Amino acid sequence: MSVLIGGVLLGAGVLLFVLEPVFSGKSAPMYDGDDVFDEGAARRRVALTALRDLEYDRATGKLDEDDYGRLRTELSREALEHLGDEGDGGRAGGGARGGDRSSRALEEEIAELRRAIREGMECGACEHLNRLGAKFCARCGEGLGGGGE
Amino acid sequence: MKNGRFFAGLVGVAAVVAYLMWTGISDSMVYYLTPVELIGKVEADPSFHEVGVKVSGRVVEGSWTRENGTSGTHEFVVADLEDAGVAFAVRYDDVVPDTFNDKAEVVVEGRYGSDGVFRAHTVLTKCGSRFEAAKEDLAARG
Amino acid sequence: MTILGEIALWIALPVALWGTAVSFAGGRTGRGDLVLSGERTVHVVTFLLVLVSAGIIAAFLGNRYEYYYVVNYSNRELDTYFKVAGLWAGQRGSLVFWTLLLSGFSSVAAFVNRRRNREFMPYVSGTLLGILSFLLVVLLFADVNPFERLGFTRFNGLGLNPQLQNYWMTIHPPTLYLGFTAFAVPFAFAVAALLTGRLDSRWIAVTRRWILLSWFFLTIGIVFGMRWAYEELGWGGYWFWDPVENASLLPWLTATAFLHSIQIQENRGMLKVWNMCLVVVTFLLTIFATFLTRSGLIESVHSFAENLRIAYIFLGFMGGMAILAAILIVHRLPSLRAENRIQSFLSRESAFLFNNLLLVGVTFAVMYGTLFPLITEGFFGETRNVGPPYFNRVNIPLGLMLLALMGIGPVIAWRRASKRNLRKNFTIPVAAGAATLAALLAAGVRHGMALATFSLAAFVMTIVVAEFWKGTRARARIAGEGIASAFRSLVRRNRRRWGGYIVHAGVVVVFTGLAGAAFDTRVEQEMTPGEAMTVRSALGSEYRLVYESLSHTRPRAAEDVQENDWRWTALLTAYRDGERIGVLRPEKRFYPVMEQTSTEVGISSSALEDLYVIPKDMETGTDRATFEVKVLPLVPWIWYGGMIVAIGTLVGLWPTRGAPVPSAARERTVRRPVPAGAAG
Repeated sequence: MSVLIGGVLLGAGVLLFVLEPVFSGKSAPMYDGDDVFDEGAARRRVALTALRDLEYDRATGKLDEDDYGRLRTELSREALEHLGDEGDGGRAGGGARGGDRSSRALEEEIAELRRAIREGMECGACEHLNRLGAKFCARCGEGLGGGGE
Repeated sequence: MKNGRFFAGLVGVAAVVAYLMWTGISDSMVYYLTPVELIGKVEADPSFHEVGVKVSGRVVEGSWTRENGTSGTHEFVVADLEDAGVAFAVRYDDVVPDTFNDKAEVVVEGRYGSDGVFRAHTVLTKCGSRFEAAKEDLAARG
Repeated sequence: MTILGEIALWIALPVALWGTAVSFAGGRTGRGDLVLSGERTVHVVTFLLVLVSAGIIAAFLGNRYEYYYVVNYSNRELDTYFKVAGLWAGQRGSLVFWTLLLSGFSSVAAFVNRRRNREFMPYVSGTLLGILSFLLVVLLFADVNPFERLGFTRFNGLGLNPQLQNYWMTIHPPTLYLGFTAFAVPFAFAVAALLTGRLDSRWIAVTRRWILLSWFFLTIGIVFGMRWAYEELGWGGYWFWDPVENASLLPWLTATAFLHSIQIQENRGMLKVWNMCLVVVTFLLTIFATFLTRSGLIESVHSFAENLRIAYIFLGFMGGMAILAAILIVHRLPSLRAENRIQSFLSRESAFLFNNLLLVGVTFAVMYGTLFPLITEGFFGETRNVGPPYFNRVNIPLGLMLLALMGIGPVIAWRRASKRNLRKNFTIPVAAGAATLAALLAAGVRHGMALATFSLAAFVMTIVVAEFWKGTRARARIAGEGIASAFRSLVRRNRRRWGGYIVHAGVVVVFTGLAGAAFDTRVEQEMTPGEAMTVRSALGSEYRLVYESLSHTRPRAAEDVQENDWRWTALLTAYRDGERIGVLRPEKRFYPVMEQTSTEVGISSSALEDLYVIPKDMETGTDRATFEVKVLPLVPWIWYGGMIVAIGTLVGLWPTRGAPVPSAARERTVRRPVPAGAAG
């Protein structure tokens, strides 16, 4: 008997919980609101991440100048293209410039990296880019500032 | 523009996989037979005695004998699961699995010699029937 | 309690069916109330399945031997620990357990996404509830109901198979099941993406973490399984190429391929169709691994029950899912076109592509070998079998190629790498590999595959370590940080990348451990107490084992309550190079209820190798015993490597610092990325 009651109660409770929205008209959100996923923003973030890693790869000597220059051009173009994409969504109006938060953080980091690398590696006299940590320029022998240390 | 190289790479990988699979199969393939099929094959073609086979069947109750304990030479008779009349003797020189007993369902791997004795190099037991008893069995034992 | 579980099982099915219907309907018509009802259903089904599982466990703990399932997997003497684990000891319980985990993950997915990815969610819950409904139908109507009664009550159960009475065996299946069921979520998102037509990289960004989670559990589940086989099956091996093992490996292989190929889609917008196919195939393989192999369709030492009806039901389900997915993919082909083409043969894309080809090749070969008996049965009318030599022959070379790619991939640049660049980056690692090869040859190693493995391992390891070192040093110089903090911030800034490298390092260690099998040594000897034996390891140590004594627990008189097992325990003292390293207690056990013996090996592990003692024969009267003693070099490395892999995966899984939180986003009007996509 108690089993029967328990079963009926369980069933009724479940039914009530599941069917309630249909009767009360309570609704789940169907759209993300301002949380919409933006393909353009995602692609831009990917391009920016790649650009950042590119700076590290250059600093660690994995890439030489030619490869670095070529990839940097390509990736920057892509990041810019998708900046345009973001505007197409056209929802946020003027505030959209500069992309989303993490893209902006990435951009700042890249700028900082480039500056640090320039100060630490580029020869002040002949602009040759030296290996990270070099004391003297490999081309002209000028002493390097070692700004990043 | 460089699709040719990718295509070559794809074909290369496929060819390597296919080659390895082919040689692997011809190296390690064995027939997997029931005792009825084994006896039938051997009668049709005596050279089958030299071919490595895997046979599944049931150990005939009371047929298991061993010299010096579990690690000596084991001899037992394996019968067909469906036709208990078809059976053959098995000789095995290593330790039998823990789950082996004289009514176990087994898979023996080796050669069926022309003297009618199966020389096994591997004996496996199938656990199937022991893991879940049939409902009728439970009634009988319970 | 048990009866409540049974009632819950019956309630769960109509509820799940309702949820499936309203979720899809709500998604189609845009009615939020139906969608909400569907999402509540997900949680309700989880709740009901918790009741079902609790009911089964209660039946085990309460020694309810009127239930067929309990009788078969328990007895009064069994430890409480194993009684709880009885939930997944057999096919029926496993099915419930699997369903429980799937519904649990579905609930988590529904909860996490209650305010985001809303366009996908109706279809995601619909798909997951559809799978759950199918499983519930099977549980109730396919002769596998865990609550089936015998019609009478036995005094005692038949007991748990001794081989399952092992710690690893109680955690190995749940871990694997967690991996299998977690993969249903990415699958559901893929289906939702196909149905809604939103085929950009969103579904991948959203599910990346789920994929990693699933991969994490699959990996450690497989390692636990190896560990179980190593300790319990008692012959010093950890992998049999048994159908059940192969089946758990298959989804792991395709999931690994998927983890790499989604990076190409994210970075370059390519391989969209391929990724869809991989996610569907991986999901189907998880079903295959859980149910088909256990159903006795393919003969296996592990196959527990031969209930072929189940096999056909699941085969039908897999076929249906495959056809539906294929129709959806074909329907969406125009939106799945690649945005870019591969620029160069020498690029990371290309390395990833070959990694995928090889992994799929391995998957195909393993699958073919596993199904070989069925295939030959179908084509020739007679069954043929392939054994471990086939799998080793195929998979060792392919595995070595994958190992090599693991080193090449991280160093080679995306898009296009110049030859100059390759020379620059590969000179030192190749030198390290060559030096290892030379050193091993000089040491007299002549085993080809082992030489190849060790050299490649040195090559890859050098690359991984160099990547970490260079990255840390650059970070330290640029940001002016100390080495330790530079390392931390390096990893934190790109967890996926550096976590991946840690995983690679772990895999290298595992490969090294596997190759150790080429140097196993083995001695067998009969001894009486007081005698000793020696074994020489391939790595040069000399082990000495002194057989001290044999003891046995005396079986009590035949009473109603017996011991779970009777034990004969040998005591051996082990010395390495004259130094005492410990006491080993290999054991023979007899399980009276099951009428079965089992062998427990004695293992003494050091950093480099294991001493592995198998008791073969024990005579109670004379205490004479035969032992087979093996020295297994590098086996511990497999477990170490597994741990490193797990750590690396966790690093990749860890929430990214600075992931946007909902409240922060509301302050701005700009759109905010989906947190899961914010790895960076």
